[in-house]
Amino acid sequence: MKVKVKGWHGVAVWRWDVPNEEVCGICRVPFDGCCPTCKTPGDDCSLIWGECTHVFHMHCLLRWLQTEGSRGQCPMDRRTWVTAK
Amino acid sequence: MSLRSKRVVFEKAFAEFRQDLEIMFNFTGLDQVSGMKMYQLVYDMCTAAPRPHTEKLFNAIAGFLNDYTIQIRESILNHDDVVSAYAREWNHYSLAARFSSMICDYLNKLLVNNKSRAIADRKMTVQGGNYRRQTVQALAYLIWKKQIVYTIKEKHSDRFMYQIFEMIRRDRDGEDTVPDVVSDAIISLVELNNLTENPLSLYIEEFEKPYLKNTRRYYERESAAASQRLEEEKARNSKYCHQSSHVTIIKECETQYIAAHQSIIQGEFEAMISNERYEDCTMAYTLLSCIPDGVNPLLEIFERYITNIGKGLIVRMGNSIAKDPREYVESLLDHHSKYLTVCQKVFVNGAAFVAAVDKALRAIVNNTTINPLAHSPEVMARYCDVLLKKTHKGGWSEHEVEDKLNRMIILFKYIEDKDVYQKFYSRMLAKRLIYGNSASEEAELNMISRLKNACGVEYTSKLQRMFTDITISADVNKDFSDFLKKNPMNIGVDFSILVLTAGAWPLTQISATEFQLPTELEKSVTHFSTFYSSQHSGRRLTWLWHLSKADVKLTYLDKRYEFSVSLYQLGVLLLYNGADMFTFKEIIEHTGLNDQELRRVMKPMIDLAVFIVSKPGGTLNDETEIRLNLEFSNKRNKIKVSSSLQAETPQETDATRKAVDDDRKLYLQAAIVRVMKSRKTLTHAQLIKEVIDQAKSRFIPNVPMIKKCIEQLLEKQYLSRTENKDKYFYMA
Repeated sequence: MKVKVKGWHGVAVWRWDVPNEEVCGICRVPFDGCCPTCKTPGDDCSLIWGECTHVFHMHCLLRWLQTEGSRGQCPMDRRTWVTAK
Repeated sequence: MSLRSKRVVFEKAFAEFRQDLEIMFNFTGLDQVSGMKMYQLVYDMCTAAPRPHTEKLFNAIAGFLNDYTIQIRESILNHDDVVSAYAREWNHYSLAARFSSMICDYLNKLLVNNKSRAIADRKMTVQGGNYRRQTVQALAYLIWKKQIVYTIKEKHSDRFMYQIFEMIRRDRDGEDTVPDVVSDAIISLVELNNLTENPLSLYIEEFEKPYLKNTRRYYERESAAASQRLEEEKARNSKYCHQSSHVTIIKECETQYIAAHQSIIQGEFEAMISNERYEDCTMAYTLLSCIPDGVNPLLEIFERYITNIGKGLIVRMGNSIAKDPREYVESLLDHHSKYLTVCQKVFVNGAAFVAAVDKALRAIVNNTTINPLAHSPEVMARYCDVLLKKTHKGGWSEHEVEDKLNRMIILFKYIEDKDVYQKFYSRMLAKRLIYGNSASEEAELNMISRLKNACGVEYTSKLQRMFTDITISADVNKDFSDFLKKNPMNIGVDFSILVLTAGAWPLTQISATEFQLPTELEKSVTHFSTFYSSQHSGRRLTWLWHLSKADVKLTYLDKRYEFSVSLYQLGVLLLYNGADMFTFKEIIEHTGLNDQELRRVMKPMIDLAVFIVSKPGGTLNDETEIRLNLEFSNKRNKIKVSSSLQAETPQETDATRKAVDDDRKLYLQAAIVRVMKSRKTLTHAQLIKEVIDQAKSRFIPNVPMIKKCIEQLLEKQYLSRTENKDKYFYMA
């Protein structure tokens, strides 16, 4: 061995594990961005997955669920919203 | 008259000629002089055998004129009224000079018109004398200038000019009118130079310049007097008028007195500023502020002056701006503070003058035509980068850095394209944080809070987020090493990582390289990926190999070396564990880098002689053989090989500029939607206006770009045109 690696320093970015360029079904903003009430994407504005496999900005979904018309249902398929574990 | 040349005794002939000349110049006994006789004498002397006395004659005439003008000077200076005496003598002298020159026509022709002589020769002095070849008239004028004009000026305390100016002053003050002789005397300065190459130069030097100076001084005194007169008038008023009329009377005095001089003061104002005659400026300001709209022209002149000087600074910097942003920022800051001080001291901090400085600086900073390199948002971002980066040599103290950045904000506020600054700043900050070469976290955070104060929270939220990511990454690294300890895993190398939020960092992957991760690192990557997804579900990691770096030990040399390299460079180095030589093409195949990138990462290693190439100097191509240098040696043991790769490339700069454009389009679309959502229907002009208002704090959008965005939104059916097409309405 002529060259030996002592150590290395990696750089990585993370994004939400959703198909590229997909947008939030409620606010129509890409998941890479944040919901309309937030300023920065990332930890401060996370996503939420339902057991029905639908995904939204958490803030958007919670606000939706608080409205009376929602009846606690997923806005996409009208099944009762259960957050995926 | 005889034309045949004969022997002439020069002394005798000239004595005769001189006598006649004297009579001519003295204007006495003119009837005794015969022009014909004199002409013949000149001819005889100039054609004398065996050799002509041409030069001798010319020099003798010069001698006569010198003697004569000295006499004249004495007689002029004996008079009290030097100007009249001068004018009288000049009238005689110029006439006599003209006639004697005619008499010496033959001599003149020999000296000047002789075509056989080269022009250069004509410039030469006449043999045996001090004067150039010229006509007798020109010679006479030259001697007058020297003996009378210059000598009086230098040796007799300039009595001549002094008296002229005194007469003009009396005329101005209405004490006396200027006698005609003055104009004769002044015009003589023009006539005197008529026969030279610059006919007006004597007049300009001797009269016009001092005259202008004099005029200026006179009117300065006048305006000083004006202030004084106004004060007197106030005192007079309070003596014998009823209080109620004070204001009206003062107003009247002011208008009459100042308005009359208004244009003179305004005309002189620019010169007052540029010569830094600030007392005069204050006076001009106080006087003109008494009358309505009096100051406005001064404001315009002031603003224009500052703008022009500032633009001049930028033009003079030329290409140096690209190399070092400091001169640009610092000299403009000095320029700004200089005139702000002027505002305080000279214009009692008048808000309108401060605003003029602001306007001027805005014009300077946002001008991109005078020097294409002076793209201020970019230059200022680079300036911050220089200050906030770790420096090797000396550098500034923390205090100095804070000071400079504080000042820089002054200039920053004038930038119109704040979004461009933001983009460049965030890219440079990203590099500082990723490469770990930021000088001080405190300084970084202070700078961000300055920007936040200037532009609001939104402007800096992503910058702040970047710092949070760095802090979070420290925790992630700690948790990961705990995780490794608890689990029976060995990744084989030291490993640390930065995990960044994709949306907050301005990291565009420029190339679509499929970098082949060296097997040595695979374990750390897989283990970390598992660890990370167990901690944060729903997230996907993308590794940025081009920003990663590694430390390696070289074991094949006499000395032990440690290199700090980029991950791409590591990929190349590790290949050589298998062999001592690869071709360029082979390296590409093994590492997965593309040509361009490989050339870039190889360059520092080839420059350092870690590798030896088969064809040194040329560009690397597929066949180039790249051999490991087994005799590598260097003074230092630890070498940073990757540093030159961290510098900004022109491609990155272009990418940044393009990114700004893309962001603008998104921003404009969002703004259009926001406006339309609240207004429902708007005309095109109204919409454009509202959008510009919204965008103003970030950048000044151009109308074609807004139009394009409107069209895109029409296509996407966010908006629609009303039936008669003159309005847009919002479609929910």
